[in-house]
Amino acid sequence: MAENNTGSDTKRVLMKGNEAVGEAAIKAGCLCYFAYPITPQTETPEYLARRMEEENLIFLQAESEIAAINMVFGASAAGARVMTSSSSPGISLKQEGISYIAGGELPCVIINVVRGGPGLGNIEASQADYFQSTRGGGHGDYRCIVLAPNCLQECYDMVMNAFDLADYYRMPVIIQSDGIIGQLVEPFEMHPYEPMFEKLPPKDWALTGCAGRKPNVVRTLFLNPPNGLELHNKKLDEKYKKIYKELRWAESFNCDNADLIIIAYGATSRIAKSAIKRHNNNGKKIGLFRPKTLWPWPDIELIEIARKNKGVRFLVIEMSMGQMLEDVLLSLMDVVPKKDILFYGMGGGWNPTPDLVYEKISEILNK
Amino acid sequence: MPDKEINILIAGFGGQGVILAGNVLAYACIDAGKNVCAMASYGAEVRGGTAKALISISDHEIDSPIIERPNLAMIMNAPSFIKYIDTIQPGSPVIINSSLIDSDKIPKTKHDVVKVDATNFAIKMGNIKVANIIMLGAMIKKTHILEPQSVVNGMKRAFYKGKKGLYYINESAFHAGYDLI
Repeated sequence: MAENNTGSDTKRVLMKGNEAVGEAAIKAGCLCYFAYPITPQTETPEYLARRMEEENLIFLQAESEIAAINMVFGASAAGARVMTSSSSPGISLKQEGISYIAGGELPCVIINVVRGGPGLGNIEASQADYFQSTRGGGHGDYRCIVLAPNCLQECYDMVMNAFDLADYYRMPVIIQSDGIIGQLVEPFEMHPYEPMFEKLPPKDWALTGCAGRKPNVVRTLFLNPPNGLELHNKKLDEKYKKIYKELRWAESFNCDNADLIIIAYGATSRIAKSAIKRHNNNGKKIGLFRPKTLWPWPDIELIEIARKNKGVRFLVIEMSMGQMLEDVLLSLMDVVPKKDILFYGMGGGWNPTPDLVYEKISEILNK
Repeated sequence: MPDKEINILIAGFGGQGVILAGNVLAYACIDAGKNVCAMASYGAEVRGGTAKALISISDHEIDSPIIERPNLAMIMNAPSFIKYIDTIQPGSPVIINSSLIDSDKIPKTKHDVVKVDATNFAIKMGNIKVANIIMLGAMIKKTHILEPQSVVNGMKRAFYKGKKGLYYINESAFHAGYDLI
């Protein structure tokens, strides 16, 4: 649906979420994009097929998701800013490649417009890939930074952030969208690229042709005795610990003195907010805690809120049967009794509605 | 426009321009400086199947992108009327395409039903496809949710990338719909 609103000026434009992430990638200097179509993310390759040609960048519809992620692997090793996108079953196919990219410490941006699963599932919005994104997904001991936008402005801004974070930490960054956010049309400010860091480390590891210098090697195989792979894992682990310290994003709404705090991310957080505001209007003290980074999970931020609100209960809402719930339980295990952490979720591509969330909250308050 | 959120359902069969009409409304909201949030059906819909668009318009922040109980509707064919009428809040204006919805054959409801002979009028205009914009004109006249000029400006943006001729016939269709009721 995108009209001619791709100029460089800051203005309020109207696009689909899937198109906004594409434009943000171009603005952030993404040189190559490789992908394979799948509902509900196909508007991203559709949009970039046109725009990347206009900008003289590289767009390639690969023969499969597996081919696409390995093209990402190659382009990233050569030092390019590179992106791929897909939806759940397609992201599953990419997992081997993502593990290699993480192992090789290469930067890239991956967009997952999550749909219902498991298996082929359906094309409706879902959040059932939380485990896949935050627990690795592929084999081996690795992490990806996971950012979860809940509106188009964040889709746009977070993709730009994702490229910077990927280059800064040298690792894959996942944008966890879903069928609602991807298909949503709403206005946002299309501002020019704003780098997150004053200076990024030089890509002196990139495979750019070694004339005049020592050859670079991007390695995911560590046979050097006696414990090459162990040392590599230690190095990765130190990096992940550093990221945990530096990058925990969350937002809270009406959490002060709340009796009940909803924890939700992405589209679900907006559905919940509608219901919360209705309760607030009736004088009920309900708050919202929304993680914007799913990994690293903003546990310290949540613990602080729990400590400030003695006796508060929590309600985790997800479009899944309870995945982020596990991070909430882990975060609050020393602060809040388990019985005060409640869950409401829907699987199989069904989303809670403001009415259903409103009723669920009423039910909890009346107990 | 009143202070409360306007939640609009547009429904019809695939090919009637249901989603396009929603996009035009969304562009019109940008022109009017309002907040808007639109969700259209996607994926398995094909020409002839049912299609719907849901649009929220507000002067305030729009939270939930999921609309449960629309308070305004524009319905382009009979199967969509039967399918969606119960989801629309009683008393709300419902603009129906009377060319394809026989008002004698549909159940009586507690809605403010406005009949617009849109498809027949579109055929008279020489392009059956503009029935959606005729309906939109009638809806704006009935509800005053937006200034007609904002919708015209919205159409300029929505049809910008296509042929200019499409813009002109749609502008005429909008004014025709506006004058039909």
